[in-house]
Amino acid sequence: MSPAAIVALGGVAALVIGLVLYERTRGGARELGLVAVLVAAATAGRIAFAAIPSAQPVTAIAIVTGIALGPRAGAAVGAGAALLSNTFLGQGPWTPWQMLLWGLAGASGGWLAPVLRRSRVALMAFGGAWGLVFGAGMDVWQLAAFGPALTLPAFIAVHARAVPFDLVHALTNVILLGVAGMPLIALLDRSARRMRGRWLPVEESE
Amino acid sequence: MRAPLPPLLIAIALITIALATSQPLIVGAAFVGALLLHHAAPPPHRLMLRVALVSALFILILNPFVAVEGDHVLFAGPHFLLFDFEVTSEELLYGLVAGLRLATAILATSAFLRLADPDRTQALASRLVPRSALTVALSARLAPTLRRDATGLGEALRLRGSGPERGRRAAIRQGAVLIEPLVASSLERGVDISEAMVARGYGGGTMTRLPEPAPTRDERIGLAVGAIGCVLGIALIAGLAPYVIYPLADPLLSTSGLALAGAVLLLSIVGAGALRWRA
Amino acid sequence: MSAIAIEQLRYRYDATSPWALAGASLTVEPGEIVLLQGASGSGKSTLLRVLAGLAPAFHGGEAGGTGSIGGRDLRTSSPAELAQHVGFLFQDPETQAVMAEPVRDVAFSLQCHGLPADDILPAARAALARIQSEHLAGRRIDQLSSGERQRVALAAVLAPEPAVLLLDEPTAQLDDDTACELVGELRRLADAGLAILIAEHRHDRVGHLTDRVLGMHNGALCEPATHPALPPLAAAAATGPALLQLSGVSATRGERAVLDGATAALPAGGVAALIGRNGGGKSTLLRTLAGLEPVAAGRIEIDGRDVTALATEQRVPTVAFVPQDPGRHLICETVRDEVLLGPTLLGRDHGPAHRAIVELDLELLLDRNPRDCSVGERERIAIAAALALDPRVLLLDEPTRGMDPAHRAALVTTIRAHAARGGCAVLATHDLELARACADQRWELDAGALTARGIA
Repeated sequence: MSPAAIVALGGVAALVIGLVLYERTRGGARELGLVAVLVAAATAGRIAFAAIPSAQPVTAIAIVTGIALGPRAGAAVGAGAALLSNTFLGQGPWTPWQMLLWGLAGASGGWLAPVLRRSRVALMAFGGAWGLVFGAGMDVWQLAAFGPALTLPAFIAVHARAVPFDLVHALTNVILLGVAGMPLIALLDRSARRMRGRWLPVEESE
Repeated sequence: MRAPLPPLLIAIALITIALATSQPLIVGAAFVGALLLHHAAPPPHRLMLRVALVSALFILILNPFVAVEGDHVLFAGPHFLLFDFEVTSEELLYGLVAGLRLATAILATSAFLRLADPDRTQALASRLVPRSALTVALSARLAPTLRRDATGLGEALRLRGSGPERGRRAAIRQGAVLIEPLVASSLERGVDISEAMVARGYGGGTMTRLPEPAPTRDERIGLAVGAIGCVLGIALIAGLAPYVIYPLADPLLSTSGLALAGAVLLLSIVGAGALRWRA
Repeated sequence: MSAIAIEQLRYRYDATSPWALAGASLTVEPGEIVLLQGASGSGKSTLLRVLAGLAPAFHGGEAGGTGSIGGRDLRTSSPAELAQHVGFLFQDPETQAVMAEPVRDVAFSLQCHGLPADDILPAARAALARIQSEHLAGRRIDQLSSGERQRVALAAVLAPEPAVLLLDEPTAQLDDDTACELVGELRRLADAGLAILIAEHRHDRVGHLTDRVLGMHNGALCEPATHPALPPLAAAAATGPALLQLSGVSATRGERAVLDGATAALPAGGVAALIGRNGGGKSTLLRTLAGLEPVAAGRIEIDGRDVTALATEQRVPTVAFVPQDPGRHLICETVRDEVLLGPTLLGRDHGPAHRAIVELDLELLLDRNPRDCSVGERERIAIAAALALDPRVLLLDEPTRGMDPAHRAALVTTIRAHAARGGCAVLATHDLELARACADQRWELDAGALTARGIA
């Protein structure tokens, strides 16, 4: 198999694995409602930001979700936001790859949570890095799946025009996570707290 | 209403066929098929057509400069750093094939989305991946609400005397200030809706699946066409009618190439005809 | 057997907080409608949530006492089991629907209960038909009005044919006509044998159709408090040069004209009540005055200055506007910061903010997060945040929504005090008693046409 085919099929396989893992999540209405509403919020934010090209809050929201609610929820919010927001902004063969990359952004937030929770600077740097990785990742996949070729010259030729957009994306992530990152994590922690209820024994409540 | 499975199968078949072979006639037939499917769907569809054609053209033009392949030199340019300014007819042919693949995928995806009823697509997805389908359905329901919330928050800030910021960086920073209350208000709605779902009985066990209406005659034709197309795509991947472009392109007009391209075209005409959207 | 029978029911949100429900005993028979009344935070919502099994199962916390509802033991049944016997209609129709189309959404309840697949869609249509809403089938839920959405939510709750229906301020988001229709449906359902328990501030909307009224205070059931009707305004109509002047103001939404040459004048000290049907353009008029909607034709003047071309933020702080349901759009983390945000951003004196905090009875809430406050409390926070700007022109859209009677009466005092300081106010409201109590002008909007007259 060619490297291009491995990358393209690997991406599809990662998406399928993510879907299966999310399906196997045990967790009631509360978890499902929180993920759904964060997907909707990221979508609303992406559309609200549409006036500034490639500035959008999806990456930042996916990352903080991953940190606060775990890699699965982060991945679900990133992937879901890609799918849902593209119904407003245009679906195409790019949708699965955006789902994968934003899903990975969310999941990686969860994997690195212990570090990212501790330092605002680390969180901002992580967001900035994802801004660049996201743009590069999109072009790699486009070249792998549809060509013309997965080679360095092709990547440079395709990616050169995307660099300014990637920089805006990275800058947006740095600002959003710098200003709102830590408060958002605290907010999510609060609403994700597991509720444990009980009935007191009858005689005790007399 | 319009069942999602027939256009889904046809779209998958077209994309698989386009990716499975380099034979320009077959890829071209898949592209024409995607174009037909695209026109069978209700308007508006100008934008996606333009996106598809521009993307294809970009790849066609790009390929000769990033590839160092092919024996028939059309233009003997220099090799400069990473880029190769020598253009061969094989490079152009491969660029055409790659461009048509991308255009096929864009058109087939957009056609599927417009041919399938969203509610029935959701129902179909909930058979395969119930939790994901419910999550997406719920967030799609909440998205307009949260867009209104986002607007309302922006207005709340203006009503305190803070107008929209000029300049990209200031605008992003203002967005950052509003993202926190937006997420907070979302989470609140999330807890409310989860509570309402629990009160409606969600989480008590397995949910009944809604029955699918029996397919109509046209939908059965669409399903058959899509299934045959998928089989054809798999056969191409498995090595039916192999075709190479580099270093020297195989002859274009082979019997197998013509026959398969004709078959793809015929299937597309039948499929798009069966699924043609009638108001 | 009684539909609801509870004995010494207690509940608190966590083991260290005081009891939100402090020993309630109650029986409700099939066919009976019982109305629960009490101030915000008196425990009405909590009682309903314990009865539906949502507390403690969904909200956590501790519960005590015994009870049964719809023939099921509260202590041993899960919310999902109870859901087949107990329907719960919430205040906000926005966050009850799961699916995008009414029949599918009603079907969701039935799918959860495991009804056989082939029976679901017919049963969902029947549930819509039962409350005269079959015409909503096939529409998109986000295109429906609040009243229509609340009907879909009611159908979804009734579809599994519960024996008991619990409603938590079901009309708070509805105008008078739609609220009246909804309450009418409830009476018909009760006459068919359903037991109904409603928590609702607006006695005037539901009182006449209920069999029994119970009060609630500090988590305990008691005799209902009586609230005297608001006295009509005694002061003479304000006169003098116009502080707010509208001359031929028109506005369109899409193709449709929502305001057509509105002309009116309000002097300093004047309060206008903006009256009219839903969708008649009341909100658009207020939003136009606040600069949030563009003016298609005409002129708006404040204190003799033409502000028509000014953006919202340039009209602030002379104009302050509290939109509908402002509790969803609070920005800060504490009530104090929220009220002080405007003066802080503008670099102005905090005096008016502190006065507003006292007038709207927010002193005890200052350190709370606005998101932990009730709808009525948030409405007061938003009004205080507007008054903190020390505006000349105060615009309020449905300010009494979700507010309990005591605070509604206090709001009249607040609005009159603002007028007495030389300001003017326009309040869009369905609440005619409130209008008579604080307005000296009546602006009637009908299909975009504005008629201004004094209140006789």
